[in-house]
Amino acid sequence: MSSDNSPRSTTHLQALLHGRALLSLGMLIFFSVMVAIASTYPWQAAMLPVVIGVPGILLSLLQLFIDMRDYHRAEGKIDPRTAFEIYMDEITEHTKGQVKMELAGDKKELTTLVEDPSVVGRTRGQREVLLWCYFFGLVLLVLLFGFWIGVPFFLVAFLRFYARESWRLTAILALAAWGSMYLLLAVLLEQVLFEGFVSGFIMENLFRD
Amino acid sequence: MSIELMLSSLLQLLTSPYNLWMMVLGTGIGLVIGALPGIGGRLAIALLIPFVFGKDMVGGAVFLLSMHAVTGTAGQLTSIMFGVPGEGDAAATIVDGYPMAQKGEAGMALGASLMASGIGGVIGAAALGLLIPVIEPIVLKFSPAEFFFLALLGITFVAFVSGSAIFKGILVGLFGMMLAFIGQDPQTGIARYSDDLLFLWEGMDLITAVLAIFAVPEMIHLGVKGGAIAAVSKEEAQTSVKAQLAGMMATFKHMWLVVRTSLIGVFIGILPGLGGSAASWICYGHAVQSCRKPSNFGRGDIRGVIAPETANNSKEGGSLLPTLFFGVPGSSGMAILLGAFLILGIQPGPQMITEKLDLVWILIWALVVSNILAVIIMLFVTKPLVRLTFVRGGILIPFILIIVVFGTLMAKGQWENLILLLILSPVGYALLRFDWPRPPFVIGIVLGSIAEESLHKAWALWRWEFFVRPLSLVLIGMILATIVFAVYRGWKDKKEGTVHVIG
Repeated sequence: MSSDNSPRSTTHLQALLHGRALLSLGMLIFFSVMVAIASTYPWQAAMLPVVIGVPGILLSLLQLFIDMRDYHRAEGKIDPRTAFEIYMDEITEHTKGQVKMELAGDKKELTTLVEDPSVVGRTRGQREVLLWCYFFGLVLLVLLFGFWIGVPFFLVAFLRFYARESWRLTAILALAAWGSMYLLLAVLLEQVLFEGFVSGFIMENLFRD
Repeated sequence: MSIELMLSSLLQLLTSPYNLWMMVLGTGIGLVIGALPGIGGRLAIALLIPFVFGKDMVGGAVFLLSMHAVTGTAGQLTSIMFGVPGEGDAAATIVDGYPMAQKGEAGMALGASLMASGIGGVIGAAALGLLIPVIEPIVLKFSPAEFFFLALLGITFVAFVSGSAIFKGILVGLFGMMLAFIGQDPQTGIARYSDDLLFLWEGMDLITAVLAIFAVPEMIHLGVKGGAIAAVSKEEAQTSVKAQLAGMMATFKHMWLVVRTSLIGVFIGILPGLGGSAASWICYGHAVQSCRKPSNFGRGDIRGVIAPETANNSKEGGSLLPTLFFGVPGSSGMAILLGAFLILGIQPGPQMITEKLDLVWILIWALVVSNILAVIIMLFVTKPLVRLTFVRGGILIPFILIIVVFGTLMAKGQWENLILLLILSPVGYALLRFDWPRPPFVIGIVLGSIAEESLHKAWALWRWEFFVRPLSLVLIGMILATIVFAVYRGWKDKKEGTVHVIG
C-alpha cells in the first residue's frame, strides 16, 4: 500500500493490468475463444454458444472499460485488496503471537482475539501462495498415489508445517480422520475411490497376474 | 380419496415396527450421507438398492424415500458452516448461510434452515396429497416450450442475485451458461469444447463446478484471513439452543415466504427435468426479488437461508407425483428411485391412484414423518457441530479440502474432475477476491443446459409457433415483468445510494 497521496498519471497498460481489470480481461478472452471455437460447429450446435458468447464479449468489454476508467479516475490509487485484506496485511506485519481481528459487520462491530500460529510471521501473500500450493499438492498426491494414500500425507504435511501443530496432535488428527473416513466410506459404504496412477501402475505390474 | 384411508395409512406406517424401523434407519442414513459432499440423495439410493432387494415392498419403499427426502436437510450443515455444499441443490444456502456462520450466527442459520426444510418437506407432501386428483391435465400442458421459458425465467433472476454489480453478475451468469454448453450437443451430437475428453461429453459436472467456485475459495480465504470461520468469540456467538430456536422462530416470522417458496418448490419438482438446483436458486432469487430492501442478501440474511431450504425439501413431494403416477421421474434422483420401486415390485402409473392409493398415502406420510424426524435428530447434533466453526482454520482447512476432493471424485467417479477442480478453483477465488457475485454462475450452469435442450425440442416441434402457445405467453409476460422490475429496482437503489454485493 502506497503512502504517497499526491496525484500521479496512469497509463492504459497499468489500468489494464490492474487486479480488478484483469478479471474482466480474462472474461473477454474466455468468451472470445468460446465464440471462435463455436463458429467452427454446425449452426445448430453453435447457435446458443454464440447467442450467449457475443453478449458476453460485449459486457466484458464494457466491464473492462468501467474498471480502467475507475482506475484512471482514482489516479492508480485503487488497491486490489478488499478492506479486510488490507487490515489483515497490517495486523500480520505488526503482530507477533496474537492476532486481533476487528470486522465491521452490517449492524455491529465484531471483535475477537485469535491466536493462530499459521498466520504469525507470514504475510497475506505468503499465506495465499502456500495455501494454493498445499491444495495443488493434495490433488497431485491423490492423482499419483490415490485417495487413501494421498490423504494422510497431505494431512500430516498441512497440520505440521502449515498449521504448525505439534507432532502429537498432527498424528492423532491424521490417524483419527483417515480411520473414520476409511471406516465410513470404504468399509460401510463400500466406495471404491481412485487408486492413483503410480499406485495403480505398481499394483498392476507387481501384485496382479 | 377418503379421510379414513389417509388416517389408516398413517397408522399402518406408525404401528408397524418394521416400517417404522425402516423409516428411522432411512432417515438416519440419509442424514449422514447428505452431509457428505458429492454423494447426495441420488447416489445414496443407488448405493442402497441392494440393501432393499428382496425386502417387503412397503418397508423398502419407505426406507428409500425417507433417506432420499432428508439428504437435503443434512446437506445444509456443511453449506452453512463451511461453505461446502453437500450437492448442487444446497449451493444456494451458502450465499447467506456461510456469512451468518462467519458472523457467529451458525446456530441461528441452522435452526432456520432446519425448520424451513421441515416445513418445506411437510408442505411438499401435503401438496402431493392435495394435487393427486387434479395434477394430470396440468402436467400435460407443460411442453419443451414452457420448460424453455421457465428456464429463461430462472436465468433472469441473475439480475436479483447480483446485488449492485449487475454487469458483473450477468457476466458470471453467462460464464456459467457457457460452461453448461460443454459436452455433446443435444441436437447434432457434436462434442462441443470437449473433443477427445470423454469425461466432458456428458457435460461439466455440477458438483465439481460448485465445489470449485464456492468451497475451495472459501477455504483459501479462511486460511489467508487466519483464525476460525466464525469471526467472533464463542462468548459473543449465538450457538446455544436458544439461538437455534430463534432461527426456527424466524422461519415462522417469514411464513408467507416459506409458503410461497414451498409451493414454487413443489411446482418445480412436479416438472420433469428442472431438478432441485433450479428449485433452490429460483426460490433464492424470488426471496431477493420480493424483498423491499435486499441489501442484506449475501451478507447473512436469514431469508436467504429459508427460501432455498424450503424449496429443496418441498420439491421432493412434487417430484414424487409424476414419478408415481405417470412413471415420469421429476429428477435424476427420482429416476433412480423409480428403478428401485420397480425392483421392489411397485409399478408406477395411473393405476397407483385406482389400485394402490393406500401405498401412495403411506409414502406421503413417510415423507412427512421423516422430515419431522430429521429436524428433531438434527436439533440434537447441531449444537456440537456448530462448535466446529470456532476451530482454527489451520486445523479445519485440510479436512474440508479432503472432503472437497472426495466429493469431486465421487460425483461421477472420474479422476478427470480433479483437473477441472484445479482449473475452476482459482476462477472462483478471483471472483471472491475481487467482489464479483458468484451465485449467478450456478444459475447459469444449472439452467443453461435445460434451456438449450428445451429450445431444440420446442423448435423441432413447433418452430416459431412455440412463442405463441398460451402458457408460453404467460411465461414470457412473467420474464418481461421480472426484467422491468429488476431495472426499476436498480434505478431506485441508485437513486437512494444503496450498494450491495452478493458474493
